[in-house]
Amino acid sequence: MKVKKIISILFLVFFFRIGFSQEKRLIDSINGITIQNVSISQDSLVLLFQKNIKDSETLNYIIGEADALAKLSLVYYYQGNYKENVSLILEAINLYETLELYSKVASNYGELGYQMKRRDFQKAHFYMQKGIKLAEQYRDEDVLKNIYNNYGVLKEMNNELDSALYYYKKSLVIKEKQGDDFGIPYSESNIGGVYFLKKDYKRALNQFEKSIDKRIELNDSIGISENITQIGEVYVNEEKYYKAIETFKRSNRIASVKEYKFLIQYNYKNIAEAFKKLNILDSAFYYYEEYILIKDNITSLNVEKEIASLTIEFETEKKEKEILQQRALLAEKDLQVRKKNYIIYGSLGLAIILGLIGYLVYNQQKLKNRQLQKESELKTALARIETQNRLQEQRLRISRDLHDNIGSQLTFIISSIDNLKYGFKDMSEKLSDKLQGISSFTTQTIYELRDTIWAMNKNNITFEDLQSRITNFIDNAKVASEETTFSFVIRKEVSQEHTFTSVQGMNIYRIIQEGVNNAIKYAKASQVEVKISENKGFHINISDNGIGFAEDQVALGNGINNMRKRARDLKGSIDIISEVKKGTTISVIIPQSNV
Amino acid sequence: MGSIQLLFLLFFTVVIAGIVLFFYHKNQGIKKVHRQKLQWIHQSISIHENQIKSREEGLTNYNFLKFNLEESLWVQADIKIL
Repeated sequence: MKVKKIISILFLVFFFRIGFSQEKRLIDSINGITIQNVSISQDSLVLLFQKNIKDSETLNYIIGEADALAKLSLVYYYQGNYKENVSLILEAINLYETLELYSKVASNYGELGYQMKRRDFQKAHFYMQKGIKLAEQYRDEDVLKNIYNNYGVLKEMNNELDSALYYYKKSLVIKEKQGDDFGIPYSESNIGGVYFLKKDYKRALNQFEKSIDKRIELNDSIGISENITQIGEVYVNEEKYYKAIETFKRSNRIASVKEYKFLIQYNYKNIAEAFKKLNILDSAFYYYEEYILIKDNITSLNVEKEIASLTIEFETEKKEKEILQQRALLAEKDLQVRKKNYIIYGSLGLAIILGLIGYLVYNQQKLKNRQLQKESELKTALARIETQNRLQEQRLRISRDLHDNIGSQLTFIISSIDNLKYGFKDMSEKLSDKLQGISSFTTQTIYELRDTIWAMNKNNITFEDLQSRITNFIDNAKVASEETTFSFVIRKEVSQEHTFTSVQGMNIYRIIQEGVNNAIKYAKASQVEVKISENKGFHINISDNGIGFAEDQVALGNGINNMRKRARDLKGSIDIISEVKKGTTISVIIPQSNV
Repeated sequence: MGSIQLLFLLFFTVVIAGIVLFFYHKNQGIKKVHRQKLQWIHQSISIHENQIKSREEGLTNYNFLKFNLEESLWVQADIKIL
């Protein structure tokens, strides 16, 4: 229960922290705890009020601080820590004085005096008087009625019975004026008690009866039973023992209902003593036994209560320790969870960063690869075109060398032969023919050289190009052999756009050139026909009507062998059909796939 | 959200942004170098193509029987053949 209350108070503390005004209300509510009745341990109360003092200081809430100091002082009083008790209550009084709350000042002086009654009577007297003076000065009857009553107790303790009676009565007057139903019977009892001490039993009985009447109205059974016991005591002192015994028994009946054991055992003791006075010893013994029994019971109960209280305190402390341990454990776990979370988040973050870096590096590498591929393709193209250019340049250089050196030398030979012919007019006809032959051969060589250079410098030769060169050659042939009729026929199915490589074009040209030259030179033909047609390949026919030859009777020269070699180079076939006195036909077929 | 978490998030965002920006700039640099390389290669190819084209045109139009080869066989100084 204590733990629950502590937790609920702590919860209250937490809840009321929401706002400033709420915090003040919290301080007030804690200060409003009745220390005498609360079942919180004294240590917890000390902590609670210490916190309240601190919170009040923080908020500069002086009245809250003073109230908390007064409460803490009271706690120390119950703990027996009188030094702190006095110090704190004086501190509280100082604060109340600062705030000019004189009612509180008076009340606390009264309280301090009452608390000191058993330790230092003089000081108790001094503080009480201070309280009374102040309360009287400010006519604070709420404070006065309590201080008067307490001061009466002080006087009674000091056996100043008249003074005690005076202050009790003063308190009663105020209570009656205020209609304080609970306070009046209390004062009346006190007054009755003083009369009893003064041995004025009649007045004492009167006061106790009055008190009982009031308490019956209030249904205050405990108060009633106490008053009845007091009446019984009066009867004992008046030596009315039987009446006293009956009165004590009556008190016990009421006290039994409320299980007011302390009073019950007191009554049994008084009954036993009364019987003893009457010399009825067996009854006296019986009631004494009863008294002892209940006393033991009370003691045992008190012990049990003490044990229970100690057990609860121990359990509470144990549980508090456990709670603290659990809190520490929770805090540690929370720290571990946080650490774990930080590690998880950190790792996640690191993974994301690494992943991102990986992705970006991969992308960069991909970009570089694409670029390298493109660069490589372009570099290859560049290398190819460079090679092509270099090759062309080399070919041109060779061509130029051929043209400039060999061409000019051949021209020089022709020129020298012509000079010889003109310089030596008397040379024989045979020699002249021989020189003419050399000159013609050299001229032909120049033409062929030029054709070679032409072919070498061409990557591709179109059929149109080839046709123009063949036509050119035929025209030259016509000039050279006027008695021969030449015809050059190209069938219409032959595409003019068809291209040959320079070597192919050269070989075709040379075959036609050789065929026509043979027809003019050796066959003495009057008609030479060159025909080109296309049907699944190129067909070249060179025919003449010359003297022809029989292959087994004639030693074939280099010309025909060259034609056969060129046809093989073209991956084609060559047929040379010749009949004596009828002419020769040379057929060359170049398959489509090879051109 | 606590200040530590906020700081962590801020730091993380800055790091991510820094990395992205770093790679962006690096990629831009790589692309620039690549563009320059390509431009140089294209220019070189273009020079060679033009050279070959002009030479072939010269050779095509040349009549060996009529003209001297010198005209079309001049050496192009702007081509560096390794």
